[in-house]
Amino acid sequence: MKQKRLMDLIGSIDDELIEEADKGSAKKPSVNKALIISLSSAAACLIVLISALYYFRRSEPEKKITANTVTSTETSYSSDPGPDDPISVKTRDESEAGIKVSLEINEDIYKDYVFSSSYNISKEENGVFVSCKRVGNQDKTQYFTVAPEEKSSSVILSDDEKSMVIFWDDEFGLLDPGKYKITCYAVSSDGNEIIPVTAVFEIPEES
Amino acid sequence: MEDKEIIDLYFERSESAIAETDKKYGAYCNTIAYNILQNSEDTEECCNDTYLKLWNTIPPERPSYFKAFIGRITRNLAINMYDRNKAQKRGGGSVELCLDELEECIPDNSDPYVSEDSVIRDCLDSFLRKLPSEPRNIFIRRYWYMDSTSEIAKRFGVKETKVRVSLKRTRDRLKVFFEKEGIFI
Repeated sequence: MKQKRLMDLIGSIDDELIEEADKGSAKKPSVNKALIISLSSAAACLIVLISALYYFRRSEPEKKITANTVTSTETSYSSDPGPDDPISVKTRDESEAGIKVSLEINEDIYKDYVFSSSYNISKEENGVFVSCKRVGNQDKTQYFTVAPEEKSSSVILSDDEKSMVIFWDDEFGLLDPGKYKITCYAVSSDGNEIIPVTAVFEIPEES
Repeated sequence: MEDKEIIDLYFERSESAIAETDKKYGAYCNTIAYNILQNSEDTEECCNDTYLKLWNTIPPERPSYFKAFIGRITRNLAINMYDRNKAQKRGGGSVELCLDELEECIPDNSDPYVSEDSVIRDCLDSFLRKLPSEPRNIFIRRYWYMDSTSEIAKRFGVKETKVRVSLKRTRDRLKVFFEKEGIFI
């Protein structure tokens, strides 16, 4: 596994760098720099908000998506969502532009947890979930980490980070009918515990 | 006690070497192991294994950076234990998350050729040394120490958002750097 090899190699970086990282601390930005950063962030958020509103308003449901399965922290999953499921999938709509799916953390189970802005998506093929590939780039697994400042139309976290809306456009080639599995990460409020949680939704064949 | 004095105790085969190591670096080892294993019992076992490994390694080794030396042993042992736990379907998801994130640094390659470990290691060192200290330290805290982004934010007195953005940018830069240097993982 390539990532594992890279992680092992990171383990052998120079001792001097490791010790420096253990005592190093970041410089605080000056007031002017901080102000510029804040303004840039506000502008970025505004653009994201407008984009999100645009997508929500323009899409006309054309094909119904059923979200009927929610899973536990393991890869097994139940056929129906219930009160004991860690996250729920609530599909919104699909338009020519793409698919939009919303997910919510079950607060009864993960009271002090929030979503990490990372997720992975895979598609069922011959009974096995296989990571989705980017069209035109077959080596790249469909995986995103979107920091709030870099919010795009792909992932939008709510302010309380308890719900998340993910949008895929045609570029990602996820419009095919089939069963898809999303793995998200529930992060404890102290950041010490990260639990992968998975949910499954299905795009049925067009009638 | 100074690191040099502790190392001397190992050379003298004095059992107080381990007690002094634990006193000075016990918490440090504990943090590294716990970040990976997310389990107190495994963490304790891993720290004990670290001391045993130190005892067997020094002498003949005389590490120049004792703290990093201990940290590296702990990290390697914890990752091995994590792999074993994973095979037995137990353990936390923090390493998985780091692995997923690191995928973004890997150049696309359909060629069966992969670069040698030593070449990649030199390239990584060179990349990290060229980075400004802040993103470099954040990157190392995340992927060497496996700290969570909130812990890193607390340590450096910045917002967690800034940490995530910094990590994303460094991962993107590293991928470009690897591609430029013709490195394949």
